[in-house]
Amino acid sequence: MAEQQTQPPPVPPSQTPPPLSNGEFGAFLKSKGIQSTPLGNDADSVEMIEVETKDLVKSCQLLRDSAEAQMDFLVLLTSVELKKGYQSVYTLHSTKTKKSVRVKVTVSKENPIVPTISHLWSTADWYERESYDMMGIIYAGHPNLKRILNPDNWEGYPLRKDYIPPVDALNGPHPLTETKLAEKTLSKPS
Amino acid sequence: MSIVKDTNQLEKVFKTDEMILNMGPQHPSTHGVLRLILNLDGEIVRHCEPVIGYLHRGMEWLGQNRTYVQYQALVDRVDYLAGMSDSHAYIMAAEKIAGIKVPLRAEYIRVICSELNRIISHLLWLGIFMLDLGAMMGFPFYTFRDRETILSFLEEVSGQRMMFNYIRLGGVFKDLPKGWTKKVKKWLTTDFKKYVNEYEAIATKNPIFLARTEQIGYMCPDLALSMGVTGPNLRASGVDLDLRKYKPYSVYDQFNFEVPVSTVSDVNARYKCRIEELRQSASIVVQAIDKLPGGDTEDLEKNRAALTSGDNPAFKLEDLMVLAKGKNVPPSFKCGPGEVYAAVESPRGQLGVHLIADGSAVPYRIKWRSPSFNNVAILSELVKGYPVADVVAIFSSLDVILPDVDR
Repeated sequence: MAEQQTQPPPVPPSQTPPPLSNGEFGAFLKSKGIQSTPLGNDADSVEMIEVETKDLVKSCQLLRDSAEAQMDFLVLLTSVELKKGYQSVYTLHSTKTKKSVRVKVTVSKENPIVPTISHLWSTADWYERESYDMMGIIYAGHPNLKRILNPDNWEGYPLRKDYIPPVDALNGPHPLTETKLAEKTLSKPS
Repeated sequence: MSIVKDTNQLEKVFKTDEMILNMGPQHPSTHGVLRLILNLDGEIVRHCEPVIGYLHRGMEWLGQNRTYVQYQALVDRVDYLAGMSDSHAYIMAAEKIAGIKVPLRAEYIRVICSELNRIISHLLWLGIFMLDLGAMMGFPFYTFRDRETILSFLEEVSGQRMMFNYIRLGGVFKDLPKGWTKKVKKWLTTDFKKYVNEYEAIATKNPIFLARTEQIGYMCPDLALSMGVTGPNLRASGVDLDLRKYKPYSVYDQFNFEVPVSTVSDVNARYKCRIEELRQSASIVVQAIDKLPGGDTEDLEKNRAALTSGDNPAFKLEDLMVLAKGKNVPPSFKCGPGEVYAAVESPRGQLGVHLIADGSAVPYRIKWRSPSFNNVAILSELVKGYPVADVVAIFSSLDVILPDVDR
């Protein structure tokens, strides 16, 4: 006797929205209520957007978790000095959809505080420490924000355009004996 | 005195403190100068904090104070075992902004040299890895013998043994020497094949080697991706992410090769992935030599005659010159304005350059994404719960080069 085979239930049509293509990330963030400034494409045709400092964590969270973007890979965190302030640049990539997007956030030179995203991508932990070490951007909420490449009480931030390197690194005053000038001049995160 | 029966009670009576052990920076198995602060419970590592920066040379600052052409000579020093990959990433970034079209022959030569460099790097890693595991029987000498052969190949091409400075803006430094391709192909297809089998015969099924490498240092693929780990370390955890296949740059889409992926994700899996990459890289070099436009040494006059006489090869004359427009880029070469992130698959993973150009002869911002930086960052997660002796094996299996970490 042939067994009555139960028909498998019909597969529901996939509810996952199509992945975002290049140039749609700004509009995607806007649909979620985040204003962003489009900065065009770079030489490798990767979309670049600039968001407000207060929206950074929310937009990164959206880009990581939403089914359209799935940015599971923080490729690089770059700190850039501009005339108007310091910039923290996040290059995100999705290994699922093979798309990249670059998110920028600019802060003033007087108060360079950017919220941390080290809870979203673990690699941001060290990248933010490096960015703090080199450019003096303070990542509020970072679990362990201290210098990473330079000695702990190095003076100044070497990649700033107004940085003056030690006159004689070998025979000059030892950096460990100097006061922490940088700590005095910068306001600490509240 | 009462006998303590409850084990929880036991721990309270015999309270043990964690010991802090400093390892490095001057430690032979740290491949340079890495300092590890280990919190030990007996012999078991409970917490590990890597301290880096001892080899920081300010490569980014140096780049922002030199012209694009001057900086070419410095970039090999970022990761001194993979100078070709460093040059390739930086030159690709500058070329993308400036819109320079590279001749096809130069692209092939770049691939040949990068893959030879990958073999060098993996051979050095293999020797040192065995040394770290305690194989003092001379295994490194075998790998260093073969490394020497390839170093002399690259020395013939570039004049240098480590800091090649061979890949230049718009092409390569100069053409391959006469008879070089035949020599390399012969060595790779005969001797090198035999040697790789010899390494495997010594190590792969060796019970001591297996006891030291199997079932330690597990790397969770999700964590690895979140930590930005790339290269053979990530592929040994089951994530197939190799830029040569994933997003082919240069002429990597012209070759047939496999990307070894393992889902075992322990130290042994990383070893196996790298051994297989040795074979695949050799295969890519042989394919590239076979397909090299213009043959062994380019004879422009002969090719010009062939083009005009109707015996038309598949490539054009401008594809043949190893330097774009046939001349060197002047030192006052201006680039941009523009911004790009260009990445190559170096022996250690995704090596990228984020270049921001403002239109002058000096780069406005250069940021290196060095794969070892992320590979060190994950070390503290990998060694938790293993004895101190395994820290050396796990760290060595990550193939970290400290100059690449500190830049």
